[in-house]
Order: sequence, then C-alpha cells, then structure tokens
Amino acid sequence: MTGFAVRLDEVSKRYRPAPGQVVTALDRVSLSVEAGSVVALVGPSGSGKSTLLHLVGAMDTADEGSIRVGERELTELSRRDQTAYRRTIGFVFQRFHLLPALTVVDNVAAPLLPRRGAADVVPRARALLDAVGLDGKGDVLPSRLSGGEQQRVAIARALLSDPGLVLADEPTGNLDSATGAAIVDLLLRLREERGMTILVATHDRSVAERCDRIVRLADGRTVG
Amino acid sequence: MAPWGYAQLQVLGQAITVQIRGVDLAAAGLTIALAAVSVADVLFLNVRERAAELVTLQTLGWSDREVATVVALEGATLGVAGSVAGATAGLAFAALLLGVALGPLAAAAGIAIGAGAAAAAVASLLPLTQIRRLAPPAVLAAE
Repeated sequence: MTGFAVRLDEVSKRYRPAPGQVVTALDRVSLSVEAGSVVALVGPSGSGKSTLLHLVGAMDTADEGSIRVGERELTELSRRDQTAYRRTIGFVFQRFHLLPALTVVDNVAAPLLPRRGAADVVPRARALLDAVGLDGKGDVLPSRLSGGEQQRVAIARALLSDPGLVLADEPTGNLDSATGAAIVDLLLRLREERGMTILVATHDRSVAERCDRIVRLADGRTVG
Repeated sequence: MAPWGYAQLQVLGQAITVQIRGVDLAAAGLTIALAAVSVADVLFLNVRERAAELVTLQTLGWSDREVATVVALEGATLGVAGSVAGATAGLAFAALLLGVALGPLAAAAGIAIGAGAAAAAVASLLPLTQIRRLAPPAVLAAE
C-alpha cells in the first residue's frame, strides 16, 4: 500500500475534565503531510501532540474542522467506518500495549485474527518479526522481552495490515537512547521499504531531527 | 404451611423422607442467586480491569462485535467450567451420601450448567457497554 496524505484544516478539540471546566487540547490546527513522508510532532507535554495523533487515528473525534487521510474524511465516519479505517493504519504506543497473555507472534497477528484464520496470518506475522529483527522470539510471552524488543513487536503489529499510515506516539519514550535510536532506524528503514507515511509524536530532539519535517506544537497550536 | 412435596433419601443406610416447603425452595433459590451474583461480579471486574487490552484490540481494527464475541466466549467458557465442576460435585454428593437417583438431578444439572454459562457471558458483556462510551485514549492513559 502506498502512503496516505494527511490534511488537517482548522481542527479543534476540547475536553471537559470536570463540570464547567474546558481544556483546549487543539486550537484550529491546520497541517498538511505528504504521502510517504516522516513528520515529527514536537512540543512540551500538553501541547496537543498525542491528541492530534488520536484524532488522525480515529481514536477520538474532533469538535471542529476537517481531517482528511487519503480519500477519507474522518470527521464524517460512523463508528463502523472508523473501525474499517483503523484497519488501514498502524498505531505504535509509548507503552507498547501488547497483550500479555498472547505470545509475541499472536500479538503481531492480532489485528487480522478475527477476519482471517491463524494459518493465513501467523506466517505473515513471523515474516514481520524477522523484518524487525526478532526472528526466533515469536513463541515467547512479551514479558520475556526487553523494552526495545517489545516496541519492535508493536511496530511489527502495526505493519501487519500493510498500512498507508503509521502513527507513533512517543515510540522511544520508554527506551534508553541507544535502543530508541535503533527503533528510529527501524521505522525509517521500513518507510523506505514500504512507502507508508509516518507521524511521530516525540519529546526527543534526536528522533525529530531524523524525520523529513518537524512540526512544533505549543498550547494546542502549530508554531512552526 | 402446606409442603410442596417430599424427597426420599438414604443417609447412612437409613431411609428418611424430607418434607419440602416453600421456604426451603426460596432459600435454595436465594443461595443459587447469590452464587450467580458473586461469580458475575468477579467476571464483571475482570473485564473492567482489562479495559486497556480490549481498547487496544479496537485500535488494532477489531469491531465492537468481534471484541464482544471474544469476551462472551471467554465468560461462557469460564461459566461452563465452573458449572460443570459444581454440578459434578453436587451430583457426586447426592449419589454417594444421600443415595438420590441421578436421573432427575442430571436434567437439573444440565440446566444449571447452561444458566451458569449464560450468566457468566452476560456478566462479562455488561462492562463492555461502559468501556465503549469512553474514548480509547482515556482508557489507555488510565492503565
């Protein structure tokens, strides 16, 4: 699958953590990302990086504005269409969010298991584990792996559906600098091989500087 | 109070007849209901504690129905396992200690196993309706 272009126009998102209290996480943010590029979203905690990724990943809905990913307008998707859309993208979390009771290979296979049998999906999952340098570790539980290895599993899982877009929320945030650099190497190599678009939210300047473009956020707005 | 019926048992080789009153049936029903609520509560809490796992599946592209199917099957499997163990122990107790004929009790045990599985599946599905109302990022952040 070729990468998806991403376009946000005047997108706002507000939360109401308590009655009468409103927090503006994103305030009329506009952003255009070319298909196949790697873009870093940087900014302090609370600047709106993760919220932006969640909206582009259809994990949450915008209050105002337009979000277009490929041919889809996300603000018009029904809950069922959001599910179908999420099958075309990959998400990598800071805390990995692997399923502890499943083996590594089953974690990678999980996105497609309900719709395609294990016999069909598991060989592809093992090939992806090879691609991320985890050949031979498919049959252990995630708890037996290091943090860097768990993040590699999460990346392999994100790639299972051959996504047009990968959203990575602080993918190196729980890793030491050397392991984090290796994860960025992996993401960039996979982008070269597969052509997907990657949006990375990060605090880490060394990660951001290796991306094609840096978008800075502060107080819910783009500032550069 | 007029009895509902009588049960004939053998205890230590002695044949005895027990009178069954309405209050006895009510007590038995309440005991079963209390046991069902206790099991359902454990399953309910189990699913709620695993909210982040279930939301992760949704972010991976699982539909609401696919997640619900897995949760219901898991609950039903636990319900069947527990009900079979309980029914087997109950039948063994009735046969060995009370000398009760197993024929009528086997049907009751079958009903109990089916009801146990259904109650467990429903109890597992209830928290899903709460989880669906939450935005996935909120659930994942709370883990």
